[in-house]
Amino acid sequence: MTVDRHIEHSSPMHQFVIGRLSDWQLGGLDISFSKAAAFMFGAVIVATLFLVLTTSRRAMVPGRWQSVAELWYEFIADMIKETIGSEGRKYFPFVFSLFSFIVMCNLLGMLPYSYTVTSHIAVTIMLALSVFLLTTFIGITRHGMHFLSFFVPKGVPLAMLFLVVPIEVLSYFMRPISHSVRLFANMTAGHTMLKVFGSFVVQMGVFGVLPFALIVALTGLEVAIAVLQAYVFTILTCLYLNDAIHLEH
Amino acid sequence: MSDQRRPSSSEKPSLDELGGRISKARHAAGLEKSAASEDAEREFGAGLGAAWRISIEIVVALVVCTAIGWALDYWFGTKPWLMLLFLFLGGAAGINNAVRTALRMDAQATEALQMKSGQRPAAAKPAESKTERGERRDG
Repeated sequence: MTVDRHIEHSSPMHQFVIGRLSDWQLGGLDISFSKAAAFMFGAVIVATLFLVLTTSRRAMVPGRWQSVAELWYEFIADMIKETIGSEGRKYFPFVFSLFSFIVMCNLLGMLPYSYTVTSHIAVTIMLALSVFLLTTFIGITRHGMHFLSFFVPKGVPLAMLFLVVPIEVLSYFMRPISHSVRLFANMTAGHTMLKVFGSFVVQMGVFGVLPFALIVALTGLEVAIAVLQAYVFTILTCLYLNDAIHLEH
Repeated sequence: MSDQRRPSSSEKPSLDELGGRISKARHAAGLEKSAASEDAEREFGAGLGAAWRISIEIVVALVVCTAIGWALDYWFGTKPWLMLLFLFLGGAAGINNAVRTALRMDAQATEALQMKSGQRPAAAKPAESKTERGERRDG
């Protein structure tokens, strides 16, 4: 929280400060309701409301809103079918919730004056770690000790195994990190860039039109990236699930 | 795929009929052209996603492994050696992940191409990439 005082309001990093909305203490633990928590709840509520309201009519021939919800559903269902196959069907709720949560967090962060939950690595690493632990758990429960063969590629001479196995193990443990850094870096970089160009508009007076035009284009790109990164996070989750289920690279 | 539709399976022929009518209407209205530009847009997005997926893989593995090596050095007092070892291991792990991601994307892309236009002679590609993978492992 000391960082709070050092970052001025005009700083491009100020938008990432986790503000407290309430000051709650529980047995010495700080359980204050923060801006981050509020936006996470917001993402869950918006996604739930959207899906429940649009599909409540259950029309045979979907209307505009219902077809958006159906596209959303089928997008994830097809992704699972293509990357995992029919065995991946039972992980659909997990993957669908993950995608909906991330895409909603990213898109809510695009609203003016809002806050982007996924621009904090603490959030994305927990999401990535939950995927990592789940896939490892699935791999071990499905294959038992045979799961360790995942780290021993086929057709490698015995002498090379001393080098290859550590590399494989390191590669495996790098997964949650790259998985989380990708989302976090994209969101943080994009929003910082928008803020920097935004301050140019103010500083440059009449010539501020130029950065303003750029901001319009960048905002469009940022919205695309918000969806794209949610997609990338989800498809990598599917690929990791596939690795755990089928034990192949 | 959708449990909601199952109860109304008796009406399935009408759904197929509807699909046929929709595609006919799309052809008649010349909507296939807009699909092409949509494709280009999607390709740009997919390319951006692919670039991020692969580049982050290498950078993260290299940085994190070097940090692990540095921390282990700090612990055991073997100043530069473990960091150097983990620098190379991290580089290898990063390349390993990146190549694997790229190969998988390649396989998916060729599969999608084959699905799109069944007569494309792209059958030789997956086998080729597999031997390439074997060679890289040895080296």
